[in-house]
Amino acid sequence: MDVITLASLSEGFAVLSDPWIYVLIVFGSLVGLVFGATPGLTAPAAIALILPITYSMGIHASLALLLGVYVSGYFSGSIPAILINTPGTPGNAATTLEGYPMARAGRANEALTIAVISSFIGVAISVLLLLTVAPVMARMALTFTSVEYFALAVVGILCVAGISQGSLIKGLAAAFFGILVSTVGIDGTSGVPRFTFGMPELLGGIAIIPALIGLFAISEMLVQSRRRTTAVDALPVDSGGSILSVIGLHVRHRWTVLKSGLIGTFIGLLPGTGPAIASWIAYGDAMRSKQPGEQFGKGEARGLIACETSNNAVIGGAMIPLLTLGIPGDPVTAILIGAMMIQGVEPGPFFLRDHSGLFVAIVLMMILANIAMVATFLPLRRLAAKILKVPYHLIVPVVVVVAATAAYAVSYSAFDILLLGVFGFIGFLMMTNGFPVAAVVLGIVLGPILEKNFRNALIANNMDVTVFLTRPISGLIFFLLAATIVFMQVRKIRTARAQRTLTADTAQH
Amino acid sequence: MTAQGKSTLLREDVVIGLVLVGLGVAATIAATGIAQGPQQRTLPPNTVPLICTIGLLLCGVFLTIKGLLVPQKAIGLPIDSRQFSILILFIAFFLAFEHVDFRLLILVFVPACKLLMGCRSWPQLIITPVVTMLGVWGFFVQLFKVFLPTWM
Repeated sequence: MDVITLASLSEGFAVLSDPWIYVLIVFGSLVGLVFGATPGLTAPAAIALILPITYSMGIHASLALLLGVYVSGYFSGSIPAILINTPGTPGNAATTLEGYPMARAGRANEALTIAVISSFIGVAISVLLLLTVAPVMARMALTFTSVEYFALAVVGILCVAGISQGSLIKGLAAAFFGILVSTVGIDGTSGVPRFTFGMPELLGGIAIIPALIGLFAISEMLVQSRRRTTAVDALPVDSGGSILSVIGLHVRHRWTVLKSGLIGTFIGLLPGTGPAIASWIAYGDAMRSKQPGEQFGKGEARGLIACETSNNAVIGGAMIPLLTLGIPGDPVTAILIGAMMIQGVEPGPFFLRDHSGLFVAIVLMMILANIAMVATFLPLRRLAAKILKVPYHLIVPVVVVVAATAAYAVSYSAFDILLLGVFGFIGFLMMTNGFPVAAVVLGIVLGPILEKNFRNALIANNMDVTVFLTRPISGLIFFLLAATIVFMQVRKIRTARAQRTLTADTAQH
Repeated sequence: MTAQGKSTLLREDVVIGLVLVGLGVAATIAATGIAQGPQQRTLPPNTVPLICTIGLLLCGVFLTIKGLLVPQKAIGLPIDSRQFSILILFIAFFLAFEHVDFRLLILVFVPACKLLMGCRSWPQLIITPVVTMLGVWGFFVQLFKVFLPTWM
């Protein structure tokens, strides 16, 4: 099967002949920059808010806008990480270790330039791998049955549940809740209503867009409403650190760049993982190969290069399971799957075969979004500190108004606005009590995939539940999943023990 | 109940665990009440919901046991008074959304929210709602042809 043909290439490039695509990519980049840079606002929140307005656009225009937000949103979390020591997203937590000391030493401009160039290279590496790995994976996915899809969906949900926050139990509870939410409405197989409580509005199931906006945006606004204004002073962006010198720095550390890009892409490829893990692993790897004279933790540029490259390399990696298996790798791709389905395109094993032109267009739009990220940020980087000074009493009401309008725009239903409020409050309670909201989102999105494949697998195998362990690929997937969970728990117990011993020793001395 | 027993029951994981148990029990009862539908060789419609509700229940039990065994701080109120008043304002805004002209609603909601969040600058209290209203009108109504509730 030749996935990418000349015809699909020309179809993909033809999309770029529409000037509207460029406008939307640049607009998306700006939205992503603002949302990622503002503490309390995130790229998933931006994409959830924008999704309803993409309904009336075509698939290309809609993806141009969303990919613009996605690419810039993942990078711009590094702006507050560098200037105020507060990561805009969990994926930029490692950035604070080197970025903030650089800014404190009067090298904020250099740190921001390194972050954007590293992010650019990270996306570029991952897009190249997307181009090469996705067709191979798509071919492999065609041999998968419901058993393997069920296994992959379980991995996707459990990885988010286990990794995104400290408590595995809370993560699991969030995932179960998300799947439970996805079962509301008429069951597609039996036609029986489930958890509708006599409400006709629930027969069609929980509307996913208001639920996502509520979980990502309203909950965060309720959390932020505790603050009166911006509490921190951002460090000034100086004039040092020319673009050429930063490019030279990347050339000098090319192996770190390449390795971090590969780490990020590989981590992104695993369902349920994300930029936070990728950046920590890449940072750890850079630290292990410390050269004489390098001072990690005190503003070491190579550390910053490692985490920012891998952080954004996750984007291309996460697109691979999305486009070839229909399994979203992180909350953003979970929303993207919804955006594509709204336009009548179903990501999955047949996507590359049936929509190879669209695949090429997506790759090209990711490259353009990457260029737009650099082109919009570099001239505006001296204004970056200003975004951090926007008071919360301005952000909160505006975001709530936009969220309600966006949720209403989906189907002009007052019930959707109520859902928005309910899920916003649920998300708020979860966030304040340490439950990962991302696990609920993946549960809601992957729930129907999980249930459908669970049913199909059992019917096809005479209701034999052992099939999930006896089929080689799914058996291996479940074995690796169990091994990962056991490994993580053992490591957690050991760390806790070591901390207790350390505390006891400190108390004795 | 002794003071120590009471403080044990107020531990964060104990309270959250018990809430999950309650939620799990209620959802399990609701899931068992789902009709079975026509008899066919497939899973009953309540299989996956039951797996989830029992999963929630078990998570609640584990969390409660963990909270009882491991000393930890008592749970605090999830919401302070200002957040509570803002939450009430949000609810009022959501309930009114379909019934009130969106322009008027924004002009009332935005300054009310800003006031509750401590903004006392009169120019900001006037300019922000007007700009937000114009922005929503321009972006959603004019550019994307979204029909928002209006009185005229």
